[in-house]
Amino acid sequence: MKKFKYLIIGGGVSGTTAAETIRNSDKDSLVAIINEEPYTAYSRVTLSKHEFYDKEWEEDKIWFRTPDWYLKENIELIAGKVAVNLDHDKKLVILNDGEEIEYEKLLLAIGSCAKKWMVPGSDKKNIFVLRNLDDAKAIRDKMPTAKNAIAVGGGFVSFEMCHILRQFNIDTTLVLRESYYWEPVLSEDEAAVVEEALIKNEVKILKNSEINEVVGGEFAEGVILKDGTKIDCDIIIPGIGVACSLNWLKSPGLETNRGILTNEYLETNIPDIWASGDVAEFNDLILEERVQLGNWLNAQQQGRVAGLNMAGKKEPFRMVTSYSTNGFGVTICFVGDVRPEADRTMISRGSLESKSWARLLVKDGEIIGATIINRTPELAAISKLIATDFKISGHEKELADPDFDLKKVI
Amino acid sequence: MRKEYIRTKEGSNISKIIVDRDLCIGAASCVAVSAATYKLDDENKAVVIDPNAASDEELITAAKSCPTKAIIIIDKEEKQIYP
Repeated sequence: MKKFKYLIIGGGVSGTTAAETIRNSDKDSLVAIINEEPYTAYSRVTLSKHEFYDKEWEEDKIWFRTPDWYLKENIELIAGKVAVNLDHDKKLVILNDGEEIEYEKLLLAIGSCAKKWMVPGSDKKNIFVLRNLDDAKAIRDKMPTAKNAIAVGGGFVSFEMCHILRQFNIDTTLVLRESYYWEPVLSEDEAAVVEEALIKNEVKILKNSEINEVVGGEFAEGVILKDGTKIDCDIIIPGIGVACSLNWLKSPGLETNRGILTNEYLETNIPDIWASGDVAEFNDLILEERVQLGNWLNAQQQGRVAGLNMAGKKEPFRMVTSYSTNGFGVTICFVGDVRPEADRTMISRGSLESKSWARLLVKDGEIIGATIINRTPELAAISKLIATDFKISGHEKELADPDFDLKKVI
Repeated sequence: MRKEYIRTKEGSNISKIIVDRDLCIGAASCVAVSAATYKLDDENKAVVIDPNAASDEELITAAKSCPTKAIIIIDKEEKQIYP
């Protein structure tokens, strides 16, 4: 039976960064990464960027780490296999082919999964949920011949995919269940900036709409909406969010909620098991609550902290992370916690005329997150206000004034 | 296109920061790690606003945070330290 001092499940940026960090402080111990996909680490965020779909794009740019790197660092990559069971008493991980691997310290950096789109007919071909490299390649292969596309859902991946579809001159219809784009993460006025850009680029937006059924034979040929409308299509891209089944981890007693629960050191409730990245629902020292964040920087930096702690340090994760994307000339940036829960209030700075907004989320008198549209220069200042627990009391008017320089209150 | 920024910070081992604009996808990780060094320009690409603002450690952390390895760090002996 194989035995590793450090075993990492998940070969994305979080797991890979953890392995690298461990190797920096422990030169000799055995380190292995189990990666579900048959690849080395790659830049997952690029999969929804138009660059990846350009003819000129060089495939090699996708690799975050190449096979040489694993050899040089003496990190074993067990690729194309899935961990399906955990026995933490015996410190064993069991793979889908039955192989058992023993560990001393385990990191769960298993990421998240794209939610399955479940309507009658959704198992037909030419329906692509984007999560991994093979999904993206399949979409890329289809793009040059597709004529009519349906995008489903109002998140940022849908936004990016609409941009890519239009780049290929594919007629694109975006079907939203909500009454406006990204409700309730954005307000209607804020969403108008995004919707305007979509409409200007000839994306048809159907609001308050749901798809009842996908029609066609082996391949999707169209959809029927709830109101009976039929729309022809030869490609469907559902982007309805993420959710993962963590059942295989629950049974051995690992505490989970939407994600795997950890403290600020990214330790789970079971000794010698850590979690990091998209799957970790961690105690955020800055936001003073348990959160689960799905962005590259969060995953990467948590991988570093988890790696340090697995190698014997005791360092808390403390960082305001953000992610920025661009489509149709609109830049959208998320900072910290942007979930519009009931215990938060909002401050909007911006205007319809300027086509720019920053939506600050406030909880207990402090800013905990923001969605920033076309105001990226404010990212640094807003991150700092979050990191320093800035008290908004007495500053509400300034914060809501789009012309007020936020640096003045730092 | 690569854009080079010369660093002259005293005591630093880093002499140059290079941003490969063809690789940059504007994820703004570098801005989040080192706002004193980077910002996104009008084309949504990272540019260096002050190559001397941050410590060596912060510069390397920011470079490592880039999902497309668009930031290249060169030391005083013209050796590439990252990636």
